[in-house]
Amino acid sequence: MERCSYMEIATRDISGAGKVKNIQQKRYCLLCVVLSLFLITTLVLVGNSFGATGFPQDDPYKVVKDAINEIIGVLQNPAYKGECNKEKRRAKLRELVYQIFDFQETSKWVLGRHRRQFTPKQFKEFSDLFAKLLEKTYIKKVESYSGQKIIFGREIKFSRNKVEIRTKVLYNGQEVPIYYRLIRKHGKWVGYDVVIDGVSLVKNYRSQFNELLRKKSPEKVLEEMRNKINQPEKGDGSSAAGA
Amino acid sequence: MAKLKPTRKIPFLTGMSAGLGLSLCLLFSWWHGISMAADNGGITKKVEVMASSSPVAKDQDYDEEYDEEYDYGDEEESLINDPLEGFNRVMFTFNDRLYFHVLKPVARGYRFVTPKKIRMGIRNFFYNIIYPVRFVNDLLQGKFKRAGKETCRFIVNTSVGFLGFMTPSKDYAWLNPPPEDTGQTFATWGIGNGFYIVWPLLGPSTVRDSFGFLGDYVLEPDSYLQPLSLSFGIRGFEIINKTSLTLGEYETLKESSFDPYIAVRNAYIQNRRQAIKE
Repeated sequence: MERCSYMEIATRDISGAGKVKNIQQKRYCLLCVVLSLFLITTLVLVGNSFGATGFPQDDPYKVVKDAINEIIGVLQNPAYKGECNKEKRRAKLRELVYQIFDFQETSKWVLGRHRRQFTPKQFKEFSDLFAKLLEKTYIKKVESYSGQKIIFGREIKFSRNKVEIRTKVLYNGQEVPIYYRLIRKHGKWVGYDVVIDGVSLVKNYRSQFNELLRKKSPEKVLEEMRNKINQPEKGDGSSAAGA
Repeated sequence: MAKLKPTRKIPFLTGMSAGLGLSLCLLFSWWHGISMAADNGGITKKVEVMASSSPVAKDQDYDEEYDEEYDYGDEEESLINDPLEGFNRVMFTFNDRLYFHVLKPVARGYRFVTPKKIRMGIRNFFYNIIYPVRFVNDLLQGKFKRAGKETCRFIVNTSVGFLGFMTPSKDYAWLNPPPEDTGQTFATWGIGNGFYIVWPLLGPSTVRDSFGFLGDYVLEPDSYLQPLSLSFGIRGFEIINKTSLTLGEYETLKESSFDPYIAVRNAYIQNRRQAIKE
């Protein structure tokens, strides 16, 4: 009797009717617990099945948010910091960016109808070179991140398969709007464009390649891209970090 | 004894309420997830759930949908005429040289001796002082609510923010409406860009925005400083201060582009378009 339950003490103290009521209440209690457990499992199962049919799990908003958080995690991780970890860090960043960003998709948008002038092999090379070029010029910007606040805003639906996730970055005391455009490719959301302060990266390059491809053959353009990538990095101290 | 009376129901109630509470909580969070998603996506999201029962059909739709779109997108280029391209490119090179040989070294020197906080404060001050440009153009565009917000912002930042050096308004989203200028007003009146034009010193513009610039000039209080050299001197300082906070941006744009002239032209048009839309 030393180890009797709380409930038993309570009942016994109050009325002599004791045992019968005790058992009845125990039953109610058990019923409640079983009922609620049942409810919980049902809900969890229902929730999961929704997830499986593409409900919260492949939410583009979450895709962007997770990717950004992961990238920030790498940038702030001491194991990846400093000049000596440069290779390791860039490899990791590359991996993360390639997971969310589809450069083939970006390249399709950049080339537009000019894509028809490219053989599949040339197009593949184009998209690889384009990704490398973006990496070369923007990686330092990304690496200069030092805890700037990122505000997640709205999600705009363009269509069933295209969305824009709006964010703002607090940079030098000013909010810079950065929008990520994603497309659903084979059930998976991938990024294809970034819009910074109203300027779409894809549209900007598109205007340049339109001009280039009007005068030059795809092979010549690829040549130019290769040269640009092989140019030595400009060690100019005026990168965004110090500004 | 009587004290214990309520406790008698505790186990029963705890079991009941904990179970129900937990279920309700889960139910709520589940619903919340849906309603949030619905808020984000509007009706389309619901449609999507229904449509996702047939993934094959979806993928077909998707390919058709976007093969068309790869083709149609040259709006930006076809919207801006550049009949003065020859002249503009010369001016572009002139401004480019001016930036690298004059403005940038000066701005870097200035950056070196001036703490960032102060430079940001000065930028905020200049932004605050051209409040009449935003106010009048809000009115001219019929955005009366926004004109009111700009006025509130001006009052708050001028008083609590020490003449606008600080921006206590920044913590309140409604106090930060997108800025309007005369060029945007002309655009909302239905006046098109005209053609692209690169001015020496002033940089990229269009015919419409050049007239807009004149309008802004009239509305900016620092235009009325006497003598004229003081007015221009202050403007020069403003530009150096601003540049010190954006060093490296032009460089990145230039480095990452195949034709910097076209990259800048396109960025200008896109950026203006966005500003007009807002």
